[in-house]
Amino acid sequence: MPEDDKDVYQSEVRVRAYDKRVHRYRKRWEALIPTQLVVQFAGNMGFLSFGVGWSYGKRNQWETNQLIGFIPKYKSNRAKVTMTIKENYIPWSIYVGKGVQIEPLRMGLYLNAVFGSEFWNEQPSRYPNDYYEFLSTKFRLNIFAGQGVTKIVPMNHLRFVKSVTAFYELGTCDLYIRAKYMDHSVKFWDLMGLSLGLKFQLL
Amino acid sequence: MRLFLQLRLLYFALLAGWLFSACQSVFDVHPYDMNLHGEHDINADQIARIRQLYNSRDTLRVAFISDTHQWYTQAKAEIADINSRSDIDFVIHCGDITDTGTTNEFRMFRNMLRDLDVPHVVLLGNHDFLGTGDQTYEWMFGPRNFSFIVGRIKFVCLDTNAMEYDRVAPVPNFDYMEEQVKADSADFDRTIIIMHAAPYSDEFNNNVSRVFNYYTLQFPGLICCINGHDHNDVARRIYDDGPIYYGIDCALHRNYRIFTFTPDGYEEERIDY
Repeated sequence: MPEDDKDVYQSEVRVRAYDKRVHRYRKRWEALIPTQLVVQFAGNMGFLSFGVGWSYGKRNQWETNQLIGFIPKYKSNRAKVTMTIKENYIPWSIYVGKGVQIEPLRMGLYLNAVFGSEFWNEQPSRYPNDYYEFLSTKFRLNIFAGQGVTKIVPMNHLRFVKSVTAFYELGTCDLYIRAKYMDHSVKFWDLMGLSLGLKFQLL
Repeated sequence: MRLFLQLRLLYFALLAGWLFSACQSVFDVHPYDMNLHGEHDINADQIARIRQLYNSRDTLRVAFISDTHQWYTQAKAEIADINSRSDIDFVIHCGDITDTGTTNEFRMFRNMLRDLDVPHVVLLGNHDFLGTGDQTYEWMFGPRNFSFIVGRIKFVCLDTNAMEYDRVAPVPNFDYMEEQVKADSADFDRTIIIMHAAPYSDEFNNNVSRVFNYYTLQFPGLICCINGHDHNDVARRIYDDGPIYYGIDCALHRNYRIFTFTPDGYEEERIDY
C-alpha cells in the first residue's frame, strides 16, 4: 500500500447526525424500489397482467404485487383494464441443487378492480338500500393456493435478473364462493380457475 | 436428436392446443370477461323451432318459469319436471337466469338449458344486467324486446327493468309496443305480454305504469300479462280496466305455471314439483 494513502485509511470518518438522517431517508425510500417483476396469465384479473412486486420478511416469504391487467373484448362492447393488489405468502423454499429451488406452497389473496362504466363500487343511488346483496361489481376479492419452481441465475450469467420463478395458482373469487354457498351442485371447475405466472427477482 | 426435438415440439404444440381448448373452463380471465363461444342468439333459433313445430296448432301448452338465479338444484328439478310431461309445447323463462350477471353464470345456465327437451325462450331480468350481464344476454339470447307469433297468438316479450337504466332509457319501450300492435297484424288475433318486472314493482318505471296499461290494451285480443321478479305465485288485476297479471314464482319455491291456450280461451294451472 503506498505511503500517501495510509493517512486516508487511518483517518477517522466522522458520521454526523446529518449523514445519519440522510442515510435513513434514503434507506426508507429505497424500500419502495420494486424487487421483482411479475407477469401472470388469467386468474380473474385479466388475460395477461403485468406488474411489480416487493418481497420482504426474514426469508423473503412475503410478497406484495401490484398488477395491471388487460381483458380482451371477446363478445362484449370493449376491452377492459383491471388493477390488482396481491399478497403472497410462500412459507417454504427448498433448494434441490443445480440452482433450482421449489416452493411447495404459495398462497394468498388479492383485490381486483375492473374499470368501466358497466361496473360500480357502491350500488348507484337509483337502487333501494341493499338491493343486490353483495358488495360491488367493480371489486372482487380472490383467494388462491399454488406452487412454484425457481431457477437461480448463475454468477457468470448474471445480468440484471437474479432468479426466475415459474408458478401456478388455483383460485376463486367471492362471487363464486357465494355461488357454491347458494347451491352445492355447482361444479368445481365452474368456480375454480388456474393461473400461470413468471416472477423475475431483481434485488 | 432431431427426432427428439421434433417430438418435443409436437408435445408442446399439443399441450398449447389443450390449454387453449381448456381455456374457458380452466383459466378464468375475469368474472365479467364475456369470454364466450358456442351457442348464441338462442331465442331466434328457438322461436324458429317453435313456429315450425306448432304454428298450425289451435291449442298451445306453454310452461312459464322464472327467477332461477343460482338455485341450480331446484332449476334442474324444474326442467326434469317439464321433461317428464309429454304435453308441454314450449317454455318461457321470465328472466333472472343469474344472480350476479357473471359470464360463468350465463354459461352454467346455458348448459342447464340444453337438458330441456322442448323449445324455450328467455327474457332479460334485472339481475342479468349486472356488470356485463346485459351484453352477455344480448349475445347469448338476442334483443331485449322481442316477439313471435305461433298459432295466431303473438307473444310479446318486453324489457321492463327501468331501474337498471336509471330510468333514462325508454323502458318499457312504447315505440316498440306500438310497432308490435301493428306488425304482422294479419297473422295474429290474440296477444300475451310477458315481462320480468310487473308495473308498480321496484324495477318498473312507475311514472308511466298507467301509460303502459294503455299500450297493453291496444294489442288485439289481449289474453293476459305474465311477469316474474316478485318471487311469488300470484294472479291479480293491477288496473281495474287492465288484464290479469300472472306472477310466476322463483325456482326456490319449487312451483311454476302451465297455460293452455285454446281457441275459446285459456286455462292455467300451478305445478308444484
